[in-house]
Amino acid sequence: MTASLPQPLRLRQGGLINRNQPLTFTFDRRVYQGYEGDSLASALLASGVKLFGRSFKYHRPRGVFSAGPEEPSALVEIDQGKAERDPNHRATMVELYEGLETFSQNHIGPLELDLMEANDLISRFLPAGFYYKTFFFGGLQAWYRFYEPIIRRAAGLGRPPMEADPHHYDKIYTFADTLVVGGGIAGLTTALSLARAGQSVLVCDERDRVGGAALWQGERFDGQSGAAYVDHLVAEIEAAGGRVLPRTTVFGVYDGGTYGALERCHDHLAKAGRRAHTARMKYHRIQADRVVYATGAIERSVGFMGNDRPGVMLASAGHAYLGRYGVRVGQQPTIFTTNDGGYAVAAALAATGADVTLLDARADSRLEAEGVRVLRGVHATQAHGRMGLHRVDYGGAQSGSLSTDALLVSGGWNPAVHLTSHTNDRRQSKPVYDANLRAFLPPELVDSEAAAGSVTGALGTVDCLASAAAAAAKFGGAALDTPAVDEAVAVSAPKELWAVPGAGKAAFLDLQNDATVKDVGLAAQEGFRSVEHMKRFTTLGMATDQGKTSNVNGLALLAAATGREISAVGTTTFRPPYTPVPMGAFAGHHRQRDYEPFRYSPVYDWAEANGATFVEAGLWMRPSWYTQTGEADWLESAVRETRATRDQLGITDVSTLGKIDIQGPDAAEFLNRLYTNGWKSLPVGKARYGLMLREDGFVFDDGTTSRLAEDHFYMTTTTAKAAAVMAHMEFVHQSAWPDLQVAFASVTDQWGGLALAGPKSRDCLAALFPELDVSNDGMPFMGVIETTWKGHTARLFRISFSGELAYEVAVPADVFDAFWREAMAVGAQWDITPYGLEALNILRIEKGHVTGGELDGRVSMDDVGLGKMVSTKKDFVGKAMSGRTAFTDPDRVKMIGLVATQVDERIIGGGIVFDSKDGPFDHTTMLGYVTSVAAFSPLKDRSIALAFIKNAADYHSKTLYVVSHVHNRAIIEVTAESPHFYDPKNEKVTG
Amino acid sequence: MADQYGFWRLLAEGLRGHTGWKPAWRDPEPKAEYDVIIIGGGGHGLATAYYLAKNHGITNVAVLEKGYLGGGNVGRNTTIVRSNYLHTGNVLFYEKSLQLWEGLSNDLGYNVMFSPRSIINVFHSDSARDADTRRGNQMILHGADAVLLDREGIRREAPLVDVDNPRFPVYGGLKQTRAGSARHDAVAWGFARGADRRGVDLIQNCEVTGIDVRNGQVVGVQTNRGPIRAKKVGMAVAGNTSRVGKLAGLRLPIESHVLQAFVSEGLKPMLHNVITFGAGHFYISQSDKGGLVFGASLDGYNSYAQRGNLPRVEHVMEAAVSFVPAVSKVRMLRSWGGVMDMSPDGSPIIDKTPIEGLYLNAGWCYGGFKATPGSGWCFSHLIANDSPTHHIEQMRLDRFETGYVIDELGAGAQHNLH
Amino acid sequence: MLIPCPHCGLRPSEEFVPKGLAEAPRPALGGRAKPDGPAWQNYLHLRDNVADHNHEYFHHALGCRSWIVVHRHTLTHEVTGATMAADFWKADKPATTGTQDAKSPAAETAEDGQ
Repeated sequence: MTASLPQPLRLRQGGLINRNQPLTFTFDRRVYQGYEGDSLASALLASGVKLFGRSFKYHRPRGVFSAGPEEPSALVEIDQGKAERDPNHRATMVELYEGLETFSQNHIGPLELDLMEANDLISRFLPAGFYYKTFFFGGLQAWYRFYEPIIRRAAGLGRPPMEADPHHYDKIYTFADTLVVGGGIAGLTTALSLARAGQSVLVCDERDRVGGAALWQGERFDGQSGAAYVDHLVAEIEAAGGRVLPRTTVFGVYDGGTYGALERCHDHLAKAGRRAHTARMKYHRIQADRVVYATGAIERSVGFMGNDRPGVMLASAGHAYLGRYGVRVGQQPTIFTTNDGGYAVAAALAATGADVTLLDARADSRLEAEGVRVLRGVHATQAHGRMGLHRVDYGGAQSGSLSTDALLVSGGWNPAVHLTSHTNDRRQSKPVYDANLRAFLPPELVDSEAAAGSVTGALGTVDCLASAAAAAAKFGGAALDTPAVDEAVAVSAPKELWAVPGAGKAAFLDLQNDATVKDVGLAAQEGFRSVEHMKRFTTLGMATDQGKTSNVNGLALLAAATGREISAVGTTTFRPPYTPVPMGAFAGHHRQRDYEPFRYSPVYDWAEANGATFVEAGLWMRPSWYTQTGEADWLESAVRETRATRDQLGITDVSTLGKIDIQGPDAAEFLNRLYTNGWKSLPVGKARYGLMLREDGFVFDDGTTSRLAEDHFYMTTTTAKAAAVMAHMEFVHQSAWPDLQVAFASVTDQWGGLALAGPKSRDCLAALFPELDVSNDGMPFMGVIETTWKGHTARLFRISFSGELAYEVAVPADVFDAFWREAMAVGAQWDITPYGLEALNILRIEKGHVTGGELDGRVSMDDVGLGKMVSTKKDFVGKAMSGRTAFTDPDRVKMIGLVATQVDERIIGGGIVFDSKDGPFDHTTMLGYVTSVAAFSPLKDRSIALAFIKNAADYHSKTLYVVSHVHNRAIIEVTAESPHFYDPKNEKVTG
Repeated sequence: MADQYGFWRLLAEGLRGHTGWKPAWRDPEPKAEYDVIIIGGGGHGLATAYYLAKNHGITNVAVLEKGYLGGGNVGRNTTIVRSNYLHTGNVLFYEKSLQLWEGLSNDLGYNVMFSPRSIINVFHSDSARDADTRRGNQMILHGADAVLLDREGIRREAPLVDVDNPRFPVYGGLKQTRAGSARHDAVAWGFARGADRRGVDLIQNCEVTGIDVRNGQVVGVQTNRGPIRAKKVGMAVAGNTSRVGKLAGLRLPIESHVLQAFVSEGLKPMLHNVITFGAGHFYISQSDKGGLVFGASLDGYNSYAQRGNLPRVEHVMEAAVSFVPAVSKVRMLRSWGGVMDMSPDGSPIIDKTPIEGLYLNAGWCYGGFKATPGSGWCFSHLIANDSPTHHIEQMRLDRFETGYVIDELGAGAQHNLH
Repeated sequence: MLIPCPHCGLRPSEEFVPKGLAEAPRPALGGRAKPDGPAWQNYLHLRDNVADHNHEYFHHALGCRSWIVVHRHTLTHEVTGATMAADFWKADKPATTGTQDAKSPAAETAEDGQ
């Protein structure tokens, strides 16, 4: 333990800090001490620090303005390093721990000598919205290269983290009958009443310690201190089965009784005490039938010159620092109040021996405070002290100047109505202005909502307790004895005073964004009369505190400047979150590797062990190619696999294809309506290639479907469209044809599948199933056999995607790995070669088969040469819309094959096709575009491609040019031909 | 003009306490009749009025706004400006719009802060590279600019992108250098001021409650401030198109959906370009004030509520921290929802309607902000001349009947898929 | 948001995939409806899209796989009930789940199939 460091403003006693547990921390690398229970703000204030940071725009020196989440000024960075650095923390909300490192932000050079303070010197030239009116000279490039970079560097607050966040975050679904937002006396009392009535109650409070103002206001409840009474209430709530979560901010209200909340779990712990597996924060999605808003109220300031100087703060903040932290914010403090609330803090400070003066803006107030000099009918006119307050001028009934080291201001209270306005599932959701209370109150609440405490406009603890009883009664709470409140703090509605007479440019409203009284006037002068216009023009309320201490003053001044009632001006829209929430908290663990799930085929492990390089396809990890020793690149591997398949025997994993089992007496009729071609006549034991359209007539998906029995089909879809096809089938069945007797289920994960392709595939199949006749007669093209393999169902399909003689075999997923290994073992005699997607791609392009590159959602059946697959005898999904004019437009592009002229030139996927290499190349001369490329086709001994071009039929055998401007205007000479490069008569697959 | 903005004026006003600034626009009472009425005082309506006056000399124009100027989607978006489209029907139009953006501040005499900081669409597969190659080539063939980047290019240009992402590694990206972002409110206010200075009446708090049609010809509108006559009425009310269209008896191919957007606390410079994640619809940039501005796709359900729900918020943040891991600690300051006019193919409609003299500007889906000047330019031409410019020849209302759809995503006729 | 699935009860919205407004039934099979005629246009493209009570298709994709029609107010997001899509277009459709039914759908029949 280091020697104790001076804390000149700390009192010897009082507050809820543990003086037996000093904590050492740093601010701008200087070492300070505070105590357990301190906030960073209270500890620095105790140590005599006044200057905490710089404002956003004018870089004016700023201190601490509040003692809570509404803080606009005292923002700090915590920790250092590109990953750990965490900017814009409110010093009032940072809990002190041993070793805490903090830094001031938004300055160039030392905090005391910020070079950017030059902005303040020229601030007369930088009024609200100044940037809209200048920076024209030099045009766009001058703006982008010169003016704007200066603005961007000057703007912003803290320095962002620049590396991945080392912490982790949890997401939790939390349920309650009733959610109570805010753990002040009103919230806790309501919660206890409801918990005693048997409800599951959850209290969330954003502070590190529940209790709200009861912790520092000095009132006594049934003879106990506020803190003791709060502890009693919490114990009783928990005894009745309720839960109380401190450090948990309910930041948003959403539809259907959903609430977002953020629990801060370990930011307050010394680093040594944080366990690696503990989440830094937990994001709760709370589902509750009822909600009680007990969110309290936030004090507001008054506009006067210099009201932003370090040492000027809200009166309640001065009271909280004294009562909760044992910090006397000034030896010679001045209170400036428009209401009774200022007297309590004045008296409390005087009781510590401070020399206190109170300026009461009201001439007719009769209140006194012991030991306090009161001037009535007087308001502050200007505060002095750039780096720390030392004098305040006052005016009104009398004028003068006081030497002072702290100025505590109370302009009244704004109920924290934010959450009550987040949704609009009721008659109206905007807060309602109460001209007597001079405050916006929550809108009329619905049956599932109640409000308790000062958010209702209740003035004083006794009224708050009464509102809590009413809220509890609304939800059937149990009756409670009301505690006697002693030494009650006087509270009243304020005198209406948003800014003192003569307040102008240096009279601040939004202390972070430096929006001033004068800026509001300028907005009105320039016609920005809507409250939304004023906000956007002046940026008032757009800072990190979202105007919690400034919005109401701003809109009230706008009302005055435009001659309207405050109620007619209204508030801007309150939107989530109430206080800022780290993006990572919402993401939880669903990030990076776990952003989306991986899907693995049953033979993934085999493939990985056998040199596969994988590629993601529709969440699946599919082998792209298998590298063998000595192979230089993927293309060499893929070409070897292609050749082996064409020459001998290839094997590939098709487990990822979508598979749908369809059963029922109307199954054939259902397929007939889904596919463009006919299905009723398909015999049992046969497969058929089918094409589906979307309802809008464009091609949706393709695949083969087999008839296993009269009323039983087995459909395959592409890997990418499997889920969409399933949802589509369910939609048309349930919404359009519910009377069809058909049922279907996805069996993609239930079956593993492999394809054997190549001249030896029949031999291999026969070896795997020696009891079957798989000859061309026994199992002709498109034949299907259901049999068994080692006692397990096996389905054999004679279908081909590669263009070779080929078979697909499906077995249950749990035996698929064993089956695959046996196929590899049996096939060894024909040098069976596993092939991946790259070889598959070469094979199918050579054959002219389409995949997602061609079926991109914008092509018609005719475009891909499948127009013949339309049955004219029946109706089907998409038939009507595919009869629209555009579908028969002769200018439509159609699929064609391209072959590179030069052996060593690769056609470029996404290249544009022209019939001249000399240009001009523009959208009027282009013929079409390339969709799929085989970098090398063993068949053609060079690169080939599929493309879509206009008047495709006219270009067969013609020379064309593939141009890619994004590849340095590469021009590849190609020859057009039929896309069916390989075995166009289908002799291989049928032989 | 005496009330011009500029450096010297700012200096002079600073010296005399800013007492000389005039209202940015007048607050006129509506007249009984105008040559043209534009319904909707958002970005598109104001731009249309501006170009009607500037390009076509039609100044007897009223813009009727039920709330305050620029209060719709122009005031609640992620401010991205780009023309990186695939289809002729879109890229011609958006490129025209981008060209207008490039000179807009000086044209309006109002700094709209358009900043060509480039947009990079990151892709994560070979097939996506082919698709972006095609897109890039199409852009260039239509007069736009595009650069294909490899992995190292992404590392160089957007160093915070997680190129080695273990789930969706980055293969490269398509960059449009001239794309960027702008200050959204300034666009509305700049067009408003420009239109006002040319004689256009901007009438706020004026809700259109009826569209008067006689013998198939528009003759005027009813408003909460009385009837106003005009033989030409343009609708630029994206977000409320169905409601206003119904006033003229039109049933339109539009559904309203909510798109959420987000802004973070202000930070020192972190991201330079606009970047988009190819493995999940997500885009992010940093504003001049320092806030990260980002968003993703629709919540999915139909909505007019201008607010969304938590499932989509979570999804957006998951994409954000997966794409740019450094943003995990950055705190989201504010979220909001905009009502999107979703068309069945994801592309807009600028066309005449079956009612003579009634013109439609609608269906902007996500893309309305960047379109603002182009939309005003082309819509004003359509209204003035009764014929489209070549940029909008494909943006027809009848394309859903003919099948000449402009489906950038190939998602088909479902409004919420685009 | 909670969706009252007629089969599963009240479930969180992320279990569902919304598809859009259910304002017109699919034109009947084998009909004479032209692609540019009102039946097809109303089914696929055109919408009243009112800021009021609406009917929307939702797919309980992460649940029972039912397509349901949810009765929601698109301005307030208030959910008042849901019907199985299989029942929605029937003339004698059963009562919806949920608290109250908003209004019955426009029971228009396709121009063909009459």
